[in-house]
Amino acid sequence: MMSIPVRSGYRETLAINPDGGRLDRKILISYNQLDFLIRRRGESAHREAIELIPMALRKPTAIFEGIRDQGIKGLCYVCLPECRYTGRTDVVSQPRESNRCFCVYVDDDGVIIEWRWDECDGKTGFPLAYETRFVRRAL
Amino acid sequence: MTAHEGFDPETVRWLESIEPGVEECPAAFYNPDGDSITFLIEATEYYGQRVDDRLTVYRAFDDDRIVGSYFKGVRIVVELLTKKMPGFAHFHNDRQIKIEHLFRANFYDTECVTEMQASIYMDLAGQAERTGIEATLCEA
Repeated sequence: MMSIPVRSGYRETLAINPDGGRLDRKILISYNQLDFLIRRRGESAHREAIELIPMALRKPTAIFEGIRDQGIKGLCYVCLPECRYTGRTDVVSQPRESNRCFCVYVDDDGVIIEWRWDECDGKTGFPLAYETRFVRRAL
Repeated sequence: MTAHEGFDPETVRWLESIEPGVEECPAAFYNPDGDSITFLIEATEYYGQRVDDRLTVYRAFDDDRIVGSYFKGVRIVVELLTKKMPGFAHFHNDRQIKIEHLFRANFYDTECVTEMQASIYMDLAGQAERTGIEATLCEA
């Protein structure tokens, strides 16, 4: 199991480990990054952080390893939630568009560096150009 | 969602302590973990559209307009561009960089760009210029 120290301003959580598929991969979440997005984007970002990030980390439809354009080993957790959230103050859920997937990007140190909806192939549910963007599908 | 699928209660409380929607856009955030800058032009829901190895543009779900961006490898780009274009150093210091300069310098340094890529870079640079947004390059 990868062991990473919990730094100040971060929280540790568990994600599916692409090596074996168990829920034992330690991941760090940065408070500053969440704070920036939630304080500006509002409730919909809050719901993404509380519901969709753990869904991607713990119920991924795929995990890709090696984020080529960042030159890091890193991981991309992909999930296909039933809905997405909208609204800065009053949040409502809408059905997910079939050509969108939710992705959480994790760096070599196990820190979440980005999460967002991405364009995806409607058939596979994988991010567009996944064959060239990532080194391999790990799960 | 079951507890197994969600965060532990302490993490949820940690997240819930963040007050949503109390700050305005445009704004930029340098993330030292990803060596990246998130630039939010509007506070709305978006999806990412990859432009090139460095840049992902955020487009609004409702009409695909550009509402922000994610730029990776900031320190590397700043270092490279400063070496190649010494004048670039006048536009930043070790900690502060104007986002518009990052977009423009990276764009002019890129050899092959499509019309769409050029349009996106210029759009973002223009939005950043109008608002004078800067990012502080801090350590993790």
